[in-house]
Amino acid sequence: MKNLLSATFARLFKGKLFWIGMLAMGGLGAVATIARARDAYVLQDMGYDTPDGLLFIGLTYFLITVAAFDGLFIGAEHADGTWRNKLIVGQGKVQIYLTYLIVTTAATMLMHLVYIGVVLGLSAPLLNPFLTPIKVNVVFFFCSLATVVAMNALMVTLCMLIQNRAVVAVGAMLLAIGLMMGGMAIYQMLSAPEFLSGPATVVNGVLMPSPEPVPNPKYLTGTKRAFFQFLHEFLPGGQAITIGMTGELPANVWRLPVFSALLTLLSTLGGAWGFCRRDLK
Amino acid sequence: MSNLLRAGLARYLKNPLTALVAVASLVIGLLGGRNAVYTIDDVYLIALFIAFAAFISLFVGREHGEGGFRNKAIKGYTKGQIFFSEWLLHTAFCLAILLLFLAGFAPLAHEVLSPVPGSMLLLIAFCLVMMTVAVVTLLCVLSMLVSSRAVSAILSVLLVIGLLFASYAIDAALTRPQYYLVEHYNEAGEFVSLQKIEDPRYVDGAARTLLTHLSYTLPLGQSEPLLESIAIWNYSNAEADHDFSWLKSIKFLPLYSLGLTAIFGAIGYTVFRRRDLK
Repeated sequence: MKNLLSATFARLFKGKLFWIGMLAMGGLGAVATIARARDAYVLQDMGYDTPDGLLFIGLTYFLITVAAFDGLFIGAEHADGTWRNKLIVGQGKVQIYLTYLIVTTAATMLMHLVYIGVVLGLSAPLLNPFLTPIKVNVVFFFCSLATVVAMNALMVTLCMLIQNRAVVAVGAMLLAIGLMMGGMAIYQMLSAPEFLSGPATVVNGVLMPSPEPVPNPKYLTGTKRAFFQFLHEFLPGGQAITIGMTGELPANVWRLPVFSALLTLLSTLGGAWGFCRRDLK
Repeated sequence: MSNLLRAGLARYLKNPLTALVAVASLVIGLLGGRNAVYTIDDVYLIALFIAFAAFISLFVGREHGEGGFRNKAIKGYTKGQIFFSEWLLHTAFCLAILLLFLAGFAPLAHEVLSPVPGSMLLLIAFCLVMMTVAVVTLLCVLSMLVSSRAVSAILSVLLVIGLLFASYAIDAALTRPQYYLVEHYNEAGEFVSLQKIEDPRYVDGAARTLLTHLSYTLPLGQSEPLLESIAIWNYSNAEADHDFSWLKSIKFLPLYSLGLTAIFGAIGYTVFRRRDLK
């Protein structure tokens, strides 16, 4: 396992893919911070002068980076016959699976940290300090690490179970987009107001009061709401939105890392089991 | 050339991916129609274009990977003929897929579409067809020029997402109000005055003209006025009490698509002809 890890890490650092991912996430952080600093400069006293909301917003798009990276990195290993070679020299399939999981987790974690590092590094001289309490940022930081691990574990499972490199790449991208869009759709469903009230109208120059609020038929209640709430907290797309866009700690925030750990465990067990049963050509 | 088209057609019809993408587009259309309020949400168009990206990159990538292009070149077909036949096949397939999408969308979105005049619906459908041709050309050129199947698949999906973000960014810049209002309160918290301040980020003059043309050129930038032109007939009178003159610009959208298709098609054709087919 030690040899496998050192060989895979060596390939990771030698290849361009990892550095392109680092550059992409670092660039995203730089663009987001500089755009905020520009807004702070031209719109003074309008609340754009702090980096609040920037620190974890990259997480909402990070699924795409993870999908592209894992799809190409793991797919290349399969296409080159590397897995078969490793088996021939006596390595176990579980060891091979865990090696990719560890290496890609480290790589994606570094990309995520680069984004956060660039935002913090640039916002220190360009913007005012955070208004968000430090406790919120620290808790979200650790939650975001757990979410990155879960995102990566899910993608590794997909990439290790599909033999065709191109299909892996497309499948991983579609899964990432599906998780992102699904997370956004569930968030909108959960955020729907319980009551709807129409706008105030003007009749013959007289302002008429708004109509009485009526119950929103799209408001989720009971078991349905609990189910979608669970999906929102369990899936990485929903977690990324909670961490990246809400800006405040939800009740039971501890559930986010617990669900991430559960998803990581389940997908790794399922993926390793499926990989062990595969016939590596 | 007709042999190339016939062989390509047979190859695509045999592959289960074709059926998968066709069913996916029908489902996307049905979902779009079911959830249509005032107009179709552009998220369904994006999903359709991502399906195009997967379809084109996997098929063209397979030709690269299995040496299909090289075999055709050995048989005596020119690279120009190979490029053109692939483009023609993918355009035809994607237009058929668009038709399936509309077949799923239209019956369920009948209430949203019925207030729109027939001539306007025909114009919107024509704009959608030309937009699809432009997207297919971009994706086809990318897949023909990147020989690695996996890399071209990822780049194709990223291209669609990039087009989406670019058009959203341009739209945000163009719809930003020229002035913003700042409310001033005294120490007791009572309202004192309202200050009207010009937003320095407001895009004006030549930059605004340039961004408007760029927005109309990008396929997903076109979707905004197209979808709004459906919505406008569904608003109540009070909400629709605004300027309709911009609807005239829709007539020119197919020309933007045609321009994009011609430019990128020509670039792809020229570069592909110079490439060494391994």
